[in-house]
Amino acid sequence: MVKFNGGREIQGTLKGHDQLMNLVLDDVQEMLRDDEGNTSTRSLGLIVARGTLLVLISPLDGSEEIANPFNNQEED
Amino acid sequence: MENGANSGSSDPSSFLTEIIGAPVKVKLNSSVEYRGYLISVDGYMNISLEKTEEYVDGKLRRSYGEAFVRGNNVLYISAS
Repeated sequence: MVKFNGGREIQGTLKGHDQLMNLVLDDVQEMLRDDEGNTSTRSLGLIVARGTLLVLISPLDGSEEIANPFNNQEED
Repeated sequence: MENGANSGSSDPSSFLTEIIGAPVKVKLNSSVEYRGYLISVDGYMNISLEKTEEYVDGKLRRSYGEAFVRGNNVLYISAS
């Protein structure tokens, strides 16, 4: 998952990067959020992401985003 | 000793290397804050964190197992 300066977010498969931290990602979905908080996605396919705009990169490990785990209190 | 600073954290890079492995707060220019365990920092202040929590306006927004933050966005790093 990659977050950009300006608030855009995408998810995709990291194919490569360079010294300027430009990224190549495949099968990219951009996460969109409208004013009411509804989320949707659009497909971008194979892209180059400009390194200067990156804020955060995090691996998804083949998993999907889950509900807030801090709401689940341990009950042993 | 020689520079009169308290032991250890006498310069920025030795402070950063000392707090590797510790829980830290990383504030970005956008005022978003990341709390997690510091894995590494480089000369650009690019930062790797583990067990990262993202706080927006002081509220937990999301968590990431691992996160990489690009250094130019970093406002401060705080050992906490």
